[in-house]
Amino acid sequence: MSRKSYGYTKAFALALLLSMSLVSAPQAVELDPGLQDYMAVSGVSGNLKSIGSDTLNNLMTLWSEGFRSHYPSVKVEIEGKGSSTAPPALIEGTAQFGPMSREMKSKEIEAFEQKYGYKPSSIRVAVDSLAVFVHKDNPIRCLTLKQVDAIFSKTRKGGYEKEILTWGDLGLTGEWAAKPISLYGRNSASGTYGYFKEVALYGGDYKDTVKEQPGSSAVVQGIASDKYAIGYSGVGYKTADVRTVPLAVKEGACFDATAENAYTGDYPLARFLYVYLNRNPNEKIDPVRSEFIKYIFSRQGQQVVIKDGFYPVSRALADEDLKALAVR
Amino acid sequence: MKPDTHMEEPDRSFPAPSGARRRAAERPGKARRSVVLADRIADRAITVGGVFVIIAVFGILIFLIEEVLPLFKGGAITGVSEYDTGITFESPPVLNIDEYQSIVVALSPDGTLETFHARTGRRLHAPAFDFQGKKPSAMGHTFDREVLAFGFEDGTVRFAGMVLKTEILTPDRLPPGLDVLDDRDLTDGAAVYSAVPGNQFRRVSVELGLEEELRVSTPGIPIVAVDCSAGGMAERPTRALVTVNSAGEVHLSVTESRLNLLTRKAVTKTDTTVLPPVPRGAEIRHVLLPSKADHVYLADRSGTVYRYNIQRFETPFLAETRRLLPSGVQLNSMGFLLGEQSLVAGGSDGSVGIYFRLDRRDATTADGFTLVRTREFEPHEAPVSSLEPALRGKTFLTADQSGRILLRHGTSEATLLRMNGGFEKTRALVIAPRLDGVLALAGDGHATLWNIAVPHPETSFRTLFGKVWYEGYPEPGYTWQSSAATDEFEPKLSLVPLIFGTVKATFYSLIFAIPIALLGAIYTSEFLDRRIRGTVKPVMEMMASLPSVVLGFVAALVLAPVVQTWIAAVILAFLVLPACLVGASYLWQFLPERLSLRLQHWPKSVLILCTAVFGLFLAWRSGPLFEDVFFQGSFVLWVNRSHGGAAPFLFLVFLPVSFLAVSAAASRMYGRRLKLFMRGTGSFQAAGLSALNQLGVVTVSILVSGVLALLCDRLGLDARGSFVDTYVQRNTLVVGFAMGFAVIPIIYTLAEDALSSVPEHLRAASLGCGATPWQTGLWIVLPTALSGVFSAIMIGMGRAVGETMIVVMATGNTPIMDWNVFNGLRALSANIAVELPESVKDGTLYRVLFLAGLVLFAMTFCINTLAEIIRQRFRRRAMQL
Repeated sequence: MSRKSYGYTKAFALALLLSMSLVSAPQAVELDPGLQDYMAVSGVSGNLKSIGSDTLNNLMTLWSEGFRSHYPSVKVEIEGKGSSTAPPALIEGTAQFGPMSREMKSKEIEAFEQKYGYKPSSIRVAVDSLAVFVHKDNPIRCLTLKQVDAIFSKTRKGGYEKEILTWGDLGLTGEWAAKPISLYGRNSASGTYGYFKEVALYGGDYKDTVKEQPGSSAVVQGIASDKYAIGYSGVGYKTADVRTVPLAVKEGACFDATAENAYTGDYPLARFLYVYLNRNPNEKIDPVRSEFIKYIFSRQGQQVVIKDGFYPVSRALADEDLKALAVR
Repeated sequence: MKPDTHMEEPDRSFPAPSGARRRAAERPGKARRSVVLADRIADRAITVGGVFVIIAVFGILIFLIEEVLPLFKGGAITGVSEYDTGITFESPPVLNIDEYQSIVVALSPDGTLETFHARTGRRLHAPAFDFQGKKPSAMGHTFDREVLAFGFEDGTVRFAGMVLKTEILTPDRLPPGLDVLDDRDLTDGAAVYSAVPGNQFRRVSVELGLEEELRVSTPGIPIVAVDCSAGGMAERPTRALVTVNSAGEVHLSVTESRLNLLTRKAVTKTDTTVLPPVPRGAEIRHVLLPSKADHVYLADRSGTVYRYNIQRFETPFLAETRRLLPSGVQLNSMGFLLGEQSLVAGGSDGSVGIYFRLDRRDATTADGFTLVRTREFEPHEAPVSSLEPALRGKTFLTADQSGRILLRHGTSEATLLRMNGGFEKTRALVIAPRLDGVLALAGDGHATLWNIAVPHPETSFRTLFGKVWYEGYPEPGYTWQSSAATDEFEPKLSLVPLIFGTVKATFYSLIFAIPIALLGAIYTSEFLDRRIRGTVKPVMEMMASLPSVVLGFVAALVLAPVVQTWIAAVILAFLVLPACLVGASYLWQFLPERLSLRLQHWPKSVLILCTAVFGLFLAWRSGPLFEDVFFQGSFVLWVNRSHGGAAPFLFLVFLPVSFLAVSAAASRMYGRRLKLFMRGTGSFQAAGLSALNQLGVVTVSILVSGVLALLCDRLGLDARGSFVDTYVQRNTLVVGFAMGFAVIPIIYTLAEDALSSVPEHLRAASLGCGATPWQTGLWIVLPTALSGVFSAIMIGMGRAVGETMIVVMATGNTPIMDWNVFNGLRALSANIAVELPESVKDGTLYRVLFLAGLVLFAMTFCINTLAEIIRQRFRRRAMQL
């Protein structure tokens, strides 16, 4: 019995080690040295609930774990089904935080405002690169946004000449040439779905043949098990079975989904990730929430961002958002 | 546990309670009082329970209908206020109103600004632009009217901002001495203050900003028309400007700001390009620049539209020149709808139509695209005088010179509201940003504000169930694409692909499940030993208890990749497995009778199982060879029409059919004689003879289907493009397998119950007359139990229609409409599960999802009613036996 359990623990530890090395494998991203260490304060208690983006799900979990190491009495609950689930949750008051991978739409803001009289507040918590993934054996080198549009969209608003159906249409040869491209994407509740549609599809419509997956990791899983697949999802969900395709706005200038390219804006699918909250602009925010926000913008909080595969925000931006919320 | 046991014993169970009571009453003293009492209580309880069930079902139905009804209602005017603003204009101003309907801004083309309170018309103090003495010669604005562009006589251009700013204040921050405007609003002379929930005040004010002069156009030549647009995402905003000067030169300038997300530094890059000049003499009246700045539309007074293509920024060209309206009709108004794709044109004949830029290969234009008039609206009786799009959805306003104002929806082509200002010459119109108000301003300063409610302008019976021609689509179609991250997106809510998906999933899983389940049930009840049956049945029932989410999960992540890799073997297994079983049964006949009787029970069942495993093994091993021979090495490529003819697959499809036909014909022709002849021989010879006969039948049917397949191939028939086509990993075949797991046990166990409960004396009589067990089963037992078997199938079907998790997980949820078994689908139930969390309560999507639920309800209701009617008929027939 004891031997068996020992073997199990060892295997488990090995798996953990492996998965951790996979997670930390991407390029080293520098933290802004200006970010400060988090200092715990006294008198923080209560419960927090977060409902919203699936892209931010892991990140929220990691933050809440870090936060709870300072305040063990605080309970944090996290649910992530898609950015569009955040506004209803904030309006109904079922959640204090609504992580979103896109900005709120005016209708959502209006529904919130009707109940509370003021608009919801938001903070920009991390930078994400939306990546186009293919199977790890796929030889494709680079795609222009217009090609991505012609692969995923039936309206082709980017202006590419013809619809792209097979890998041969993208210039691949040999066994790949005649293989149809299998498309994976997110469900429509996701902010990723909307962002990709707006930027990569030039606001056009997805083909009906894009297989909608309920989560970012399901997209990556689908691509890993389907050799001729292509799909999009947050870069943080990359695994060893898939690779990201460098993208170009103008032909010839390809940029991979790296931190540097995301910050400079050379990579066309870099975006902010948001956390929305219900805050009365004329009242002070309660200590649990303000401490959580401070934690997000601390050195530890942004370290976690890197660990999860996203890119951290700078001190300047953090201060800007903290000031807007009148925290500190 | 068994929901329909009463169906098999209708005569006893149906009127049971009342019948028992009557008997008890007729023979007093026979039943104990406690029994009678218990009987009565049970009677009442069951009656009350039943009534409550009916009430609950009706309650759900009424609730669904109540949620759905508002989708089909148009709009309503909830209030009207009329007032005189005292503002007069020479040329029509651009109006803007804030989302709370507090302040209205009227901006004249010469740059002067007037503001007034939207609810009372009281003039407010307005800020002004300082152009340093110059007078604008042209003005343009973005779609939301927050960014303006002014062109001047000297060829310079200036961007300006005009924002209706909202702040929330606590009462102690309110300035003193506010004037009361009406029951909601206060003012300090310039800004409007309104009380909002939570003891707070909202301050709405107009803020202006003016940017530096830009030299985009040739200096010194007056600018006659200008338009600007703003686009891009928050991280990379873009701004574009197009100018036309009096010399006919057209310039386009695009500014892209790229924000460094780390350092917060913006890198701004401005590119300017010169467009081909407009023809001489064309007096440009309308300039339209969409936010993506990939096209420019110019229109002159006569109604000719010039479309420039700027998809390659360095080399813009004039792509199309055409009249939008028939000759003699003037183009009075032209504008975009939200999304800046649909072009609305209003003519001097009162006509209103929408144009799309569509890819038409036969078009004579320079880029293969052309403007197509796709929508026609109820015409005005007088010439159209103005046109105004809403900031939400595809709703827009048109007004004619007689003062009539119509609120229309661009997609449904419906007229939502009719308004009449009661005065002539409506000069300017605006729709409130939240689509809850319409303001019309006349040249003499007379204004009318209508409060309107159009909660669901985009839905009508036609957009939900009919073909709709959406923006940028080459033709009308059924489309489901419900939401996106931006306001510009138009939800496409056709339920037809979803209904189709549900039907498709049900159909394919049932043609997979019904034969297996029914044949299994017949075999178990008629042939299988009672003891084995006692084991098999509970195992099958256990299968039914598998949670469907687990089935879906396994199907998506394990089954789908396996099926994709071994697709040829899977197809082959459909033929090899039955062939193996039939072959094995012929071999069984060669066994001496004593031995076969001794091996009758468990050994036989084990052998059958072994044969099935062997069949699967055979299919697996010969899969690649089969793929090489029939599909030139790759089924996936074959089905994608990359190579190969139609004949091999048709052959496979025809094979089972021709086998049935040939064997029926054979037994018709010489079956009787063969049987008589076999009676005279020994059992071994008879077995050999019948095996030989079967072999002959198989050979003939292979020949027949081969010939048929070749013939069909010659005639140009191909299975590809109908029920087989491009292979997708998450497909209906996989759903069929997974759903089979959920449906087969139900159909099996209910059908088996029905068959087993056929009275033994019928069976005995049949067997006693010399019929074989197979004949007895097929011609005596099955018809008697048909009503039960039929309801088993229907209950299985009901499960398949409503099944959610398997479909969510195992299909790609692709809302497509083809019968291709190798493609996915999006079912009604799956769609509700996927999209309900994202829908705003009482929003359009929310109600449409309830409508999807109602449709599902109606579908199951129809199926069950039909099933019940048919079942009753069968039962009546069975009763006569």
